[in-house]
Amino acid sequence: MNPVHTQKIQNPGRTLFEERKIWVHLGWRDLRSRYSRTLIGPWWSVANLLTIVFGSSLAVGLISGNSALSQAPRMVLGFCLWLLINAILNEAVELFEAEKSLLLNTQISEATLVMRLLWRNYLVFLHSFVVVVLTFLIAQEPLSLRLLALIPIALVVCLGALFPVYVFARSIFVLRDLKVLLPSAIQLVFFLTPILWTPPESGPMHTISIFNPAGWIIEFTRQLILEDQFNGYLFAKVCILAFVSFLLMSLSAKSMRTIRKLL
Amino acid sequence: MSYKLELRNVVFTRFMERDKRARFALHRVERNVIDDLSISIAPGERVGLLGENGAGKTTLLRIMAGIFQPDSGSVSRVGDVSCFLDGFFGLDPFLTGRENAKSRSVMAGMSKAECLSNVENIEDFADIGEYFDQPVKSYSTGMILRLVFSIGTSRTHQILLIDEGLGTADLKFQQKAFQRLEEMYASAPIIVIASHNLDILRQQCTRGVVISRGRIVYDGQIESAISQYSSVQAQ
Repeated sequence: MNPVHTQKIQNPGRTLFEERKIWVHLGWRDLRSRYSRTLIGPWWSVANLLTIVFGSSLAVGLISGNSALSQAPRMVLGFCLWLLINAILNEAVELFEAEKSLLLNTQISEATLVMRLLWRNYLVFLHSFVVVVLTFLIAQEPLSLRLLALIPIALVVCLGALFPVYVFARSIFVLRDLKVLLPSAIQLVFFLTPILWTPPESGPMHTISIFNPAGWIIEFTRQLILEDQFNGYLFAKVCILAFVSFLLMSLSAKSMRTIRKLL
Repeated sequence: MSYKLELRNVVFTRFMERDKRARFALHRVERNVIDDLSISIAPGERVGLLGENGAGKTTLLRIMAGIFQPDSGSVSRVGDVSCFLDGFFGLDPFLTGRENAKSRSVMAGMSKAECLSNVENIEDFADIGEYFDQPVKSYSTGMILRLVFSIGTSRTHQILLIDEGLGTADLKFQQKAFQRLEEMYASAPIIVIASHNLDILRQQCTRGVVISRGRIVYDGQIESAISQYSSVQAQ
């Protein structure tokens, strides 16, 4: 048995791989715990997304003068990805506070807790797939294998969220007010993301959509699935973002060690 | 195998809020909770940690366990560590005892088959009957302690760290727990117990370390350490 020297800083990437069994188990357990005493279990999130999609499609259809059903496929792709991003960021705000007991009693790494959060939300996202298929069937949009692209796209979203989750989870220790402000900011980003609207060719909303990573991923997915168009530029931006997020997460290893001091 | 636990010149600081306006990290100051502390524990030693509230006992145990990373100095540990540091031990109150036991087994790196047999061991030892399948939030303090102790000692560890251990357990379970500690002592050569219960320390420890403001003020035989601590408390 080799001695363990605690001054050695663990690389989060390595920790994530070494502790993969832990975060996979904990994420799955969270999901079971979430639905353990509900009547319809995971179908709650399916029903929730279905209601949002058709409610929004109807509203947008009425405003724009188009048929509600024609809006539904665009809406469902936008909403299923947005709900993933929204849930990840909202849960991130209280991540380390909620896991205080675990952090102060076990050697579990902070990076593992971040992965646990991403994994359980990814599992919830997979429920959305049923809604996407249902919506496409109702809207009489042809089903194709391109729909399966949602699965790796959501993985890229999770990878891209690694660093933001860490920043959000840590930020409330710097300024407590952020605990209240961040969820409001996320709500604001919803309106600035092309979910209910299509990015115009020019103007302020066009500029906003250029700088909105959530918009990149949603637009890329819509173009790929609905228009059979692979937008290499958006894809590159999303991949670079995910890579940078992972890199920043690795670089923040030293700073991660101080989180337990703040609990 | 030569197991050991050694801390050299360990300094650990915590952020303290300077005043009521401490909304920003900038308003916080750092304070040494553990201050240039060195200790070496050899196999076969059962160490009792004594000190007033806030002396740094729990923080020291967390550093020994690898939960807290020191700001400077080094910690060298050879051997698997098991620790019971607070009443809830990181259990999820919304999960059942069984689910918590399974999670902790997975976190300990056990395979599926090992997890199953480990959960059975934990259930047998905790002896809390049908409550094992009830959410932990419905447990009494004593039942939580039973579960925590059973999880923590369900497999062999070479380093056992206990904070304010067994005070809330009933006598029957205390005896059972002490018997298990005795059994573990054969394979867990290093045990560190932080407690204000002097009887438990007398019963379980051979060496006593008195801590004050993050520094060791006495290190020697347990009886002498208790006398030293008692005289300081009496002042």
